[in-house]
Amino acid sequence: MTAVDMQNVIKKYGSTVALDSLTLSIPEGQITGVLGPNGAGKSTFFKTLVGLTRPNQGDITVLGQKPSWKVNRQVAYLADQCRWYEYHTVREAVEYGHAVFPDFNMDKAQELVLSLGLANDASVGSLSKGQKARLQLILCLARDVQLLLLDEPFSGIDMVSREKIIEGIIQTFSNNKQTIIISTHEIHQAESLFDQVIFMDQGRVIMAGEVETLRQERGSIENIYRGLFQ
Amino acid sequence: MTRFWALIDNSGKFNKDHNYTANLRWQLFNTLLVLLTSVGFSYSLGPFSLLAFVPVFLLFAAFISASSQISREWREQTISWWLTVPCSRSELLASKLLGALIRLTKIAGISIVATALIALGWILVKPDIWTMPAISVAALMASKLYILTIIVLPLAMALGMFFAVLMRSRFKFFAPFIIAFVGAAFGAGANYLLPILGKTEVDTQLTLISQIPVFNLSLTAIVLRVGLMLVIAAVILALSSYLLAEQTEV
Amino acid sequence: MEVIDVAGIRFALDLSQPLWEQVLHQIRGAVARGELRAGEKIPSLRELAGQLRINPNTVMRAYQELERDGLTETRRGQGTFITASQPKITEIKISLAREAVQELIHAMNNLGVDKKAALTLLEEAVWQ
Repeated sequence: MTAVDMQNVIKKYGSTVALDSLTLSIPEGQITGVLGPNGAGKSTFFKTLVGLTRPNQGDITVLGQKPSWKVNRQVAYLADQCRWYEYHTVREAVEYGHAVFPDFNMDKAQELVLSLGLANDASVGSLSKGQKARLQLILCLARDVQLLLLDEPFSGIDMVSREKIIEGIIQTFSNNKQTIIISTHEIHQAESLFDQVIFMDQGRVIMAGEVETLRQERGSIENIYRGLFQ
Repeated sequence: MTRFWALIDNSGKFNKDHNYTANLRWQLFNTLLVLLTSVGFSYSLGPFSLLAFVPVFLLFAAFISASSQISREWREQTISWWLTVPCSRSELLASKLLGALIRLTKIAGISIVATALIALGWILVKPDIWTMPAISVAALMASKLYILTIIVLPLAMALGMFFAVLMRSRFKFFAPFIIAFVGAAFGAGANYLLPILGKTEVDTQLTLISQIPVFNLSLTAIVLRVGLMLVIAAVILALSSYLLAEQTEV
Repeated sequence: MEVIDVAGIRFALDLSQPLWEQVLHQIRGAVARGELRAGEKIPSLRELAGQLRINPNTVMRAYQELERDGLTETRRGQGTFITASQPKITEIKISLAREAVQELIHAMNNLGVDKKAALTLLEEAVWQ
C-alpha cells in the first residue's frame, strides 16, 4: 500500500517550474527521506500533499484520496519556516493542539514536552529557535496520524535540539500505523532514520530506493548525495 | 474545549499581543474618539453632530479587525498551521469573525464607556448648553446611531474578512474593482437602511440639531433589515470560504 | 563511524554499510565474546533504536534475524532475551571463529603467504 502517490505532477509559479512532471510513490509504514538542493521543489511537494497548493496538472493521492482538509485529519504537517503563536505558553499550545486536532494524544504530548526539555509555563515568544522547533514537532508527533510530513525540521536548529527531535521521532514512530516523510539538509545526522530515500532536483526525482540497499551498493546516503549534486 | 471555540478563543486573544502594531491603531482610534467627544460636548450643540462619526469609526474598526484577524496568520507565518486544521474553510473563517467580534466588543466597550464618561464630564461642566431636553435628545440620537452601527456590524466584518482573503487569493488584482463595486452596493444599501433613521419634527429651541433620527419603521421592518444584513454576511462568508479553499495558495 | 554504548554492548555503526547487518553482527559478537550472557535481557527494539538513533525498522530486521537464528527469544510482556541454551552460544562462537579464520586466510592470501607459512607463523605466535 502506498501512502502517497504522484503521477506527472506539474506546478508552476509564473514561469518558474517548481514540480516538473513529478512521479513518485511512497510506501506506508516507513520513514522516507526527501533530499535535494534548495529549489529542488521539496517544499512545494509537501504543500501539494496537504492542499496548501494545487498543481497545474497531474494526479496526487494521499492515503488513497485527493488532498483536502478531510484527508488532513490523518496528516500532521510541519512546514518549513513556520512559527507558532507567540502569545501562547507551551501548555496553552498543547491545549490548543488538543482542541483543534482530532486524535491528539494529550499523554504523549506531555511526555514529549518533558523528554524534549520544554517548560510548560514558558511563553512561546521567549523560547529559542531550537525550542520553538521542538514545540512544533511535539504538536505533530502527539497526533496519532497515519502520515507525518516534516519539511526541514532541523533547519537552523542547534545540535542538541536536533538530537532531541530525532529521539522524539524514533520514540513515537509506530511502524504498523505510520508513514513519515522528512526533507532535510542534515543528511549525516538524519540518514540513519530513513528506510527509503528520494533524491529530487529541479522538480524531478533523479534517484530513489531503499536505503540499506543503496548503502550496500554505493555507500552512505551522504556520499551518494555528494556524488549526485556536486 | 471544542475545536470551534478553541479557534475563536485563539483569535480573541488581545491583551497578550504586545508586539502587535494594531494596538497602535486602536490607541489612535481611542484618542480620536476622546477628542471628538470633547469637541462635540464642549462648545455648542453644533459640533455635537460630529459624534455621528463615532459609530462610523466603529464600523471601520470592525472591518479592520476582521481583516487583520485573517491577514495576521500570513504575516506571523502561522498560516500553514491555520490552514491545515482539519475543518471546513467556513468553520475557520466563521471562527475568525467571532474572534474579531470578541476583540471588537472589548475595544468598543472600553471606547463607548470612555466616551460616555467624558460626555458626562462635559455635561456637568456646561449646564448652560446641556439642559434636560438637550441631554435627552442627544442620548436618543446617540443610541439610535449605535443601534444602526450594530445592525451593520456583521456586514462590515464580513466584508473585512472577504477583503483579507481576496488580497491573498489569485484575484487580488481585481481588488480595487471589487471594492468599488462593494462601495456602490453599500451606498445603495444605505438608502435601504436609512429609513430606520428617518426624520422628524424639530423642537424649535434646538434648531441646530436639525435632523433628529426617529425610528419610523415598524418592528417587523427593522427585523427584516437586520435579517437581510445577516443573510448578506452569510453569503459573503460562503464566497470567502470558496476563495480560501480553491483560489488561495501558501 | 559512531561508537555508542548500549547496555554494555559497544556498537560502532558505519553509515556506508547496511546498518541492520552491523547491528546483527555486533550483537552476535557480544554474545560470542561473553559480553552478553545466556538468558540476559537485551534492550527492547524501540530502546535500542532510540539509543542508537536509528530507524526502528532497521533494528527490527536485525532482531528478526536473531530470532530466526535462535539466538534470542521474545517473551510477551517481558522483553527480548538471549537464549539460555549453551549449545546455541557455543555454535555462535564457533561460527564467528570460523569467520575470523576466513578473514585471516584472506589477509594471508593478499600478502602472498601460503598455508604452510601461515601455520608456521601461527605456531610461533604468542597465545594469551
